[in-house]
Amino acid sequence: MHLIIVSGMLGVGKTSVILKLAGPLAESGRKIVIIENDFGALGVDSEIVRRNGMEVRELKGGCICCTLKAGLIDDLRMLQVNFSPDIAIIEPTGIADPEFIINSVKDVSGLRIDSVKTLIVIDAERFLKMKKMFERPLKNQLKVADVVLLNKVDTVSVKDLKEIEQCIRAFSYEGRIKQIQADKGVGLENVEEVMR
Amino acid sequence: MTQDAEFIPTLAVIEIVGDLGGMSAVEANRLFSGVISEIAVGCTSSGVGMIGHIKANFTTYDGMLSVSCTTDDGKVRSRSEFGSPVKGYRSIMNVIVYGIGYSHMCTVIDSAVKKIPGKKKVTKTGDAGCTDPHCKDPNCTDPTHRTVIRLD
Repeated sequence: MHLIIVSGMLGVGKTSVILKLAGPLAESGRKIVIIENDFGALGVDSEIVRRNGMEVRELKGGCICCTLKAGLIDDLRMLQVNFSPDIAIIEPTGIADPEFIINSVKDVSGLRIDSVKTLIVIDAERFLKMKKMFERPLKNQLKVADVVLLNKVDTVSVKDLKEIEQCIRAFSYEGRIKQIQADKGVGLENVEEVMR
Repeated sequence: MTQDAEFIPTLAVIEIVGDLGGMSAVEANRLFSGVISEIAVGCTSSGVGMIGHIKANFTTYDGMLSVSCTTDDGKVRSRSEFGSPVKGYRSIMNVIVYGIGYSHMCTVIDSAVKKIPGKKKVTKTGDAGCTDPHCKDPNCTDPTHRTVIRLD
């Protein structure tokens, strides 16, 4: 089973990214499951994903990088046995540290993880404010990012986009930065290219 | 390390069940989007430092309006909208903001939700984040450190 962690602060567009990625992956014949860790006790995101015809597991009332870590592992084990997915997509809460998730699924008995890919979604519209308020969580997320998806690029100027990319690089992130508009699917048309 | 107040979000989950008696899809989309927008603008006016997200799904037997707002100006983005007249509906709304307390947030929510006609049931659950004075984790989500308050 391959794991894709779609992480990022609150409201950056993680669910929109998942919806755009999961559809084509499923159409290519791969079995996909989505694990949603909504902040609230009643999930808004999981309902949307489910309505799009996808298999969803919900982890509620805490964060999968800390209090619900055991729940995540149990769920992955259960999904592996009962559903044999090719890909499990995990959407943690906006405050989660994806490194904790990566570490928690490593070398767990009874759980076969072939690869882990971490996509960090960043909201271009609110980036500068978020950077100011949440520098530490942002730094933690970028530390383990395989790809940064810079979302809502239609809401800022080209000049601001350059500044945002420079700020991201200043966090010592050297990987790819892909500009997207997740709600319209712009930049996410070729899933294999996004995931490479 | 001390706990940074701005890391602790104020959260409310609001469930609404109601009947719009066949309101047109356009009007219903506008009504519910307006409520979300009003909550965002109201929270900002009350001193919110950052909107985490305000998102809601309004579902009927054959459709769903899914909207969210993350900016101070109340600009609403919709993922899906109603396409046919709206009668009975159920809604789940999550409001997560940084920088204001419960009572302020609830005043804003109540004022906006009041504008929705035909409500049969409104349930609000609040969660003020970590309230453990000894906790050193700025990102704490430990449920045992939280005081969950039924607001109704």
